[in-house]
Amino acid sequence: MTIYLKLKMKDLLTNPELLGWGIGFIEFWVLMWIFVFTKGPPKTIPLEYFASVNASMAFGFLGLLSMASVAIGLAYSIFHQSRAARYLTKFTKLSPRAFLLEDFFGSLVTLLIFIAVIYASIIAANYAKFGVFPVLKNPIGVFVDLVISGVALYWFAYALALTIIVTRRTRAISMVSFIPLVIAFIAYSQLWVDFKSLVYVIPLSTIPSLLMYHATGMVPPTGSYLAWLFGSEPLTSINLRLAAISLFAWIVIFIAISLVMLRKSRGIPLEEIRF
Amino acid sequence: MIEISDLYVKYRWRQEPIIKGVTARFDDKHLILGPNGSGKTTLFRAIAGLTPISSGEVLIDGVDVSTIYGEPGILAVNLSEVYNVLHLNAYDNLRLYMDLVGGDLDYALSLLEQLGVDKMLLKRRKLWELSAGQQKAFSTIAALASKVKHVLLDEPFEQLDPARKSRLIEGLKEYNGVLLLNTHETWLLTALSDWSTVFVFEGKLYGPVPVSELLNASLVMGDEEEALLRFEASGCKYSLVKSAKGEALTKLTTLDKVYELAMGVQR
Repeated sequence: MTIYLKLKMKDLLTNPELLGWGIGFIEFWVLMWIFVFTKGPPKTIPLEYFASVNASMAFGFLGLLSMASVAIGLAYSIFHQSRAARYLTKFTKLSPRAFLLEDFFGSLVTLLIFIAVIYASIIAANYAKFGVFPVLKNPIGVFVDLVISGVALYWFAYALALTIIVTRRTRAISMVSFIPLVIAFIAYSQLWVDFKSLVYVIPLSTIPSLLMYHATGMVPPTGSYLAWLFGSEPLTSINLRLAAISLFAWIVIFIAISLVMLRKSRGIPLEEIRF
Repeated sequence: MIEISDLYVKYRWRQEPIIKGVTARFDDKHLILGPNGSGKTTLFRAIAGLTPISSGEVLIDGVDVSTIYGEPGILAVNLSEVYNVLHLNAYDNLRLYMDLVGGDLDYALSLLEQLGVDKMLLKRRKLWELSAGQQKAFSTIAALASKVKHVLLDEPFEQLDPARKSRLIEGLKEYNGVLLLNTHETWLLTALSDWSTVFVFEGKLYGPVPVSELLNASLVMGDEEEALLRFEASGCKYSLVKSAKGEALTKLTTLDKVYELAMGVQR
C-alpha cells in the first residue's frame, strides 16, 4: 500500500460537499424520521419491537441514501482523477492494479465511516425518543451487507464516471453522477410501494431488505414497509436468497461495465477528459 | 534515451494529424522550439503515453511507452493536469507524487521556495487555487525533483517573472539526465547555449541544430543555399542562415513572429 490510500480517504472525508450530502443531509432525515414521522406504536405492538424495527428500517433506507450520496462524490472524484491516473499508473509505483485496489479500499472505508455515523445517530435519536437501544440481531451480517453495498456503489460510481469519459459527454457528469442517489430514492419508495418481483431487478433496492433481515432477524416484505411495520395489510415476504443474488448480479454488471470502459478510455486523449 | 519513429497523432479520426511523421532521438538536453499551436505539447503528451498514437512508435530506453506501467524513475512531465490527483491542498498532492516516484520532497520544497512558492502557501491552497505562474512552477519542480532519467518540460518559463526565470535556468543546468524543454521563446537560446535545438512547425520536426550555432543565426524567407536549417510554415519556405541579413533569431522573442513575416510578404 502507498500513501495514496491514506490521502484518498483524507480527500473524501474532508470534502465539504460529501460531508454535507452524505452526513448533513441524511442527519436531517434521521431527525425527521425519528422525531416527526414516527408517531409511536399502536397499542397492539410492543414498544421494544416497534422501536427496534423502526430503527432498522431507518438505518436500511437512510443508510442507502447516505451511501448513494457518497457515490456522487466518488463519481466526481473518479472523473477528475482520470486525467492524472493515466500518468500515475505509468510512471510511478502506483501500477493500474495498485491504483484500483487503493482507490477502491479508500472509498469503501469512507463509505463505511459515513454509514457508521448515520447508524450512531439513529441509535441515539431512537433512544432519545423511545428510551430503547435497538440491538443488532446479527452484527456481522449487517457489516457484510454494508461492505457489499459499498462495493456495489463504488463500482456503480466508477461505471458512470468512465461511461461519461468514453462517450465524451463530459458536461453530463453533474447530471449522471446523481444517478445512484436517484436509484436510492426509488428504493426508498419501498416504504410505501410494494415493488413485488421488480425488487429483484431494480439496482440497489434489495439492500434495505438484507440489512433489515440481519438487523432484526425478520424477513421483510417486497415493499410497503410502513404497512408491514404496522401490520395493516398482508404482504409477500422477500426471497432473501434472490435478494442477495440480485445485489451480487448488479455488482458483477457494474464491474464488467467499468472494466470495458476502462479499456476503451485508454484510447481517449487526456485533453478530452475535461469539462 | 527517447526514440520516436514516424509518429502521427490526431485527436479525432477525421481530424488532420497534429503530429505528422515525426522521427527523432533525444539523449541529452534539447530545446524544442516552435510557435504556439505547432504541436509541441501534443508531442510531449504522446511521448508520455497520455494521448493515443495514430501510427508510429515512441520508445523510452528501448521500451514502447504504451507498455510501460508502474515504472517510477523513467519519465516525468510538467503538465499541471497530471499533478491534480486529489482535491487536497497542493502540499498533499506534492507529498503524494514524491512518495509515488521516490522523489526528494525536501529538495522540491526548497526549489519551490526559490521560485517564491513556500510550503505554507502549498498547505493553504489547492493546486488550482494557485496562480498560473505558481502552478507552472509547481509542476516543473515536481518533475525535476522526481529524479527520473527523462524530464519533459512544457513551456516552464510561461508566467514566470524574470528573477524566477533565471533561478529556474540554474535548476535546469544542474539537472543530470535527458531533458526536453519546449518553448516558443527564442531568448532561451542565449541562456542554454550548450543544448541542442529542434524546431517544430505545423506538426513536423526540423533539426537538431546545436544552440551555439543558432546564437548568430538569422531567419530569412526562401530556400537559402547555405542554410543551417530549412523549414516550411503556412505554405512559405524559411531558412536559418549565419549572416546579418534577415531577422536575428535570438531577437525574435517568440517564434510566433514567423507567421508575421509570412503575412508581411503576402501583403
